[in-house]
Amino acid sequence: MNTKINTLPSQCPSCNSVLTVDRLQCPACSTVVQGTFALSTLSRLSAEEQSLIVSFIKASGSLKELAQLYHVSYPTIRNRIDELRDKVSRLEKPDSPISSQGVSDDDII
Amino acid sequence: MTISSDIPRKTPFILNPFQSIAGGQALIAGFLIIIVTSVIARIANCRFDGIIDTHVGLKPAATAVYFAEGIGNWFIIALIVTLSAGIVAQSRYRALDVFGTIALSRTPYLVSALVSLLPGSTRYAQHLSAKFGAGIQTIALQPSDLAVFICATFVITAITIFTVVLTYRAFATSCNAKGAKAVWYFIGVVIISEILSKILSYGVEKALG
Repeated sequence: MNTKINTLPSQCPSCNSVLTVDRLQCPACSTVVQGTFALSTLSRLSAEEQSLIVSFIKASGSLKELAQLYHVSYPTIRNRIDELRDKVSRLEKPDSPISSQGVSDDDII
Repeated sequence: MTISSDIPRKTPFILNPFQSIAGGQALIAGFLIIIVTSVIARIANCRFDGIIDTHVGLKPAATAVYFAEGIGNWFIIALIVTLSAGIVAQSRYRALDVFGTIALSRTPYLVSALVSLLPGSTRYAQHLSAKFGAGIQTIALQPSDLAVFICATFVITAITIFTVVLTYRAFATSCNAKGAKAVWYFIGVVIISEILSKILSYGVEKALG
């Protein structure tokens, strides 16, 4: 069994549409579930954005702690979180094929 | 999921230190640098009589004028941004970050004050001031004075441009502002701050001599 887990892509490399999941497999017993499953908003974010959200929750929403963790200033991390908030809002709108490549640093700073 | 402990920085530290330093830390460091700059400006008789002005070779003023200009220039632009940045800010912002980052953005003027200590530059600037009747006695020039003055002028001009860039970065980072609207807003802030700082400089000089 292939144990390597790849990062979940959320966007079609061909037409840019939002991808769905149509097959899930249990790595322990190989049971397969088939159907059409939508990706959640969070899973449509980039790995870096997801890790930022996890860090934010671990820091109990303290931007000061988060800024220390990421070695950036308070306004820099606040701007980053606000960019993420805007991106999540856009993703939650129906039919919004937004790139999951993450907010570029150009947008952050 | 692995947690990255670094957010990639778009610009090098020298061009945008506010990605790493802001708030109280920047305020303390920036304020101390403004004080040191004012002390050196007093020794060099270098006047920062406007938020983007550096003048050497003027008639010496009272010590308090140098400090009033250094602190006043910072305070004016920081206060204007704090009060009005809501029209371009994309996040809530803290006055502490605005005052702190803008204080730190004045750091290059420390170099301008140090450059103004060069005797040749000061002599030539005084020579020009005397020529244009600024109430300064004509003094004897040395052969290298013009070259030193030109070099100092070039360096001070570059530093002034760099300071404006840093001040923009300070505003943009602390208020989460970007795009053309932010740039036009900043140009307006600089113009208004320049006018107010000129008035402050004139008023303080008139009151204190």
